Amino acid sequence: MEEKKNWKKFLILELSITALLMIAVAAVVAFVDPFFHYHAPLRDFSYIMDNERYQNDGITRNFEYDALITGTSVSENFRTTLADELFNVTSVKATYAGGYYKEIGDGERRALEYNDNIRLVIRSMDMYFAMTETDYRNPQAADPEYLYDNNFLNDEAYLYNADVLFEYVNSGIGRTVNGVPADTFDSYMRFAEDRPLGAAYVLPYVRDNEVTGAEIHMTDEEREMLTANVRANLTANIAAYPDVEFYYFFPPYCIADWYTNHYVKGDIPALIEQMELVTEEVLKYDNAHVFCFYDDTDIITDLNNYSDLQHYSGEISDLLLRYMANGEHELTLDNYKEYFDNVENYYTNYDYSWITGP
Amino acid sequence: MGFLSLQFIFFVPVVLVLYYAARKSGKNELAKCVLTAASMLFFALYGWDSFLILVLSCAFNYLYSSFLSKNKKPAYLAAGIVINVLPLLVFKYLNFFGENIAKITGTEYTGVSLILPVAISYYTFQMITWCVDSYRGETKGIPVLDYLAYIWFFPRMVMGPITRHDEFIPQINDPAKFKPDPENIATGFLWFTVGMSKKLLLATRFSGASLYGLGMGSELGMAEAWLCSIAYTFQIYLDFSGYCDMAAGVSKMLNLDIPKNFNSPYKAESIGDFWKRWHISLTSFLRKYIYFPLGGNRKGRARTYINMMIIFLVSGFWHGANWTFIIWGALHGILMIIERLTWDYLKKIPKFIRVAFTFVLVNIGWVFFAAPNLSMAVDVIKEMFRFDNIMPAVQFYDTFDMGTIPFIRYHLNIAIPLFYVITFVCLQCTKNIYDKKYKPNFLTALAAGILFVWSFLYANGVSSFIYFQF
Repeated sequence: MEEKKNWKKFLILELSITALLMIAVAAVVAFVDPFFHYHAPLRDFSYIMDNERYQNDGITRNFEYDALITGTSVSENFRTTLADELFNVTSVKATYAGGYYKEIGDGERRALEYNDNIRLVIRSMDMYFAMTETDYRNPQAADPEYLYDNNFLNDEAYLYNADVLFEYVNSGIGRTVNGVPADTFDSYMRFAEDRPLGAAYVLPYVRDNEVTGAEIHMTDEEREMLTANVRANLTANIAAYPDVEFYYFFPPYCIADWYTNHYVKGDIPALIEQMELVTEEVLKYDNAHVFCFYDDTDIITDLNNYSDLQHYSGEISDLLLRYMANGEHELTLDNYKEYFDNVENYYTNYDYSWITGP
Repeated sequence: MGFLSLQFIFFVPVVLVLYYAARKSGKNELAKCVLTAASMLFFALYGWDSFLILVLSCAFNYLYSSFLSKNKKPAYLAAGIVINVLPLLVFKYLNFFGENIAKITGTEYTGVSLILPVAISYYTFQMITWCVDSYRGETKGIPVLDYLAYIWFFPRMVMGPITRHDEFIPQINDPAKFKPDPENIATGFLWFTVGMSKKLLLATRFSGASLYGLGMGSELGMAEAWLCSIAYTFQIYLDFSGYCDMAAGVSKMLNLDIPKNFNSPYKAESIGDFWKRWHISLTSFLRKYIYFPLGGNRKGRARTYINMMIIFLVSGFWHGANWTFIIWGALHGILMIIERLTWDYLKKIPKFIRVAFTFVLVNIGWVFFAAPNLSMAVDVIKEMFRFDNIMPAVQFYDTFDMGTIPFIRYHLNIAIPLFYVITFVCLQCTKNIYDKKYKPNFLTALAAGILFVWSFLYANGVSSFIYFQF
């Protein structure tokens, strides 16, 4: 009988300790909330911000801001402090490296739904991520649905997660104690300082293929697919939020990219037609702006601005923000045809021989 | 719903409360209904297709067993077994047979895309035991509710242990087991926690090295080949026995004991001894329902060895539709025969050498078991005996994902070999958790709580149990 009593006491103790620890872990994670899933950041906590797919939704939902910088990795080097200064806004960055139009469009829509104060969106439009079905997502990218689905019943994956507890909460506490400031949006996902620039790093990405001499144009099926994708994932948000200014831009890939991914294949005409189509669709709306920098050939042809075929330096990222703030390189319904004709002409007739070398 | 989810952690207490409430009210049939309904819900959450196939199998076997108990003809029993095995053959082995027949005949075979119903390998064997026992007249008078509670019992539904009706049904009718027992609930929780920590804290640590080894194949160095194969040897035991501990723990909370599936298998002194300690319920099934009916060891030496080979080939084939499993089974069969033939000499070798040698043989066997194809298995084994590259590459150490642990991250080349040694020593020296007597004190409660929460933190993003695929 005595033994039974002991076991009863032990059982209560065992379950109580377990329950308390379970509650404590969830409470600590929810209180610190390193992915900003429940609330805005604590004022004095040193947050580690380095995981966009996990932190973006919380950022767009719980931060105070009126401008959103989004897009793929080509937007990651933008400094929000510069954007704030140039556009007179308070901006946050929520980018999706390798993100297709659907992923970025969804993130942008959710931000607009959460935050009525948004008045400016800056977003990249990568053509490499454009030609897909409307609901295509990057299959290799992390997809923490539990952070995006507004269903608290599956939040266990966040609340009871060793990575979150040890790498974000615990390390964050350590940084806070040591007086390390929280990461900022200038540094959030920025890689400009980590990657060396120049021909030595860009040219290895150039494939040694022979120029086909072909002249490939966009097919009717591609036109249909791209139109549907742009309407579903780009212009739907523009149409739904007429009071918000949308600054969309074609990221300036380098001359080596033009060569190896387009000139060699002969699909420069198709690429130009795609960019024209996107421009036409976006410019149907008065609150939308489209920027394209391929006419700034000083940038494009200087490989010292690039760490690979597509990614440009921090300085160029700053310059693009300045261009957009000043309205430079902006396409309008009046000038875009001529603009793309010139771009096509330039990159079709460019002397690429130095890229492949003797 | 898997064992490693918060839903399951809430599901179990709800089932316990409802089950014991029904028992307390004196409505024992209701208690069985609660158990069956909970089990069905648990299983249905794996998918309706698997659920419906099991419902059909369950209904067929109950009706057919009534028929069998009245019509005891071997042909009817054989028909019952064939009808049970047929879905398994179709869902799991159709493409394997198709591909191999096509290879032999030089024709082309286009694979058929079929679902693999969850737990089909396990419940097929369980249904066979029911059929055979019905034929033997052992299931006569068992009510349908008892049958349902037995077949669907959720803690061991998905990955065993394979349980015979006479190991389970008497327990649900035993009045001594109707009241909640704090000792059993507390002990069951401890077993569950230990099982979860085996899976989440240990098995997953070794899984990276196993995958690395199978990815590298012939590019492995000798040390890496051994370390990766041993990683799998540890992983598969910790993974499967972890699951069994969890299943046994939940059963224990319900005052129900399920058969012990493991008994420190890496302490085995011989291959024969290993099979008395590894996946015991499968070995028992094969002995009782295949080996003995074939004549066991009663029909001379040659027949004994043939019968042994048969059960090991069946065991290998049961694990999966791949030649790697068949070779693994054959290897164990051959080793068992050699052992029998040479036992008079082997038994004179000091015990620790026999234990070490058995471990090495079992470890080599697991390479076939783990490899996606035979050539990969042969590549890894070749590297194990190619005497070069005795230092593992940095990438090998990285697979343990210990690079963020303070201090340890700077000493991975010491910490990881030490991790192997500690694991091996624990597997050799610690007592089986079922035989341990736990002290109901504060420290045990605290240790259980910490271990439970610590393990559960690693539940997210973890792949399913290895034996789930079988």
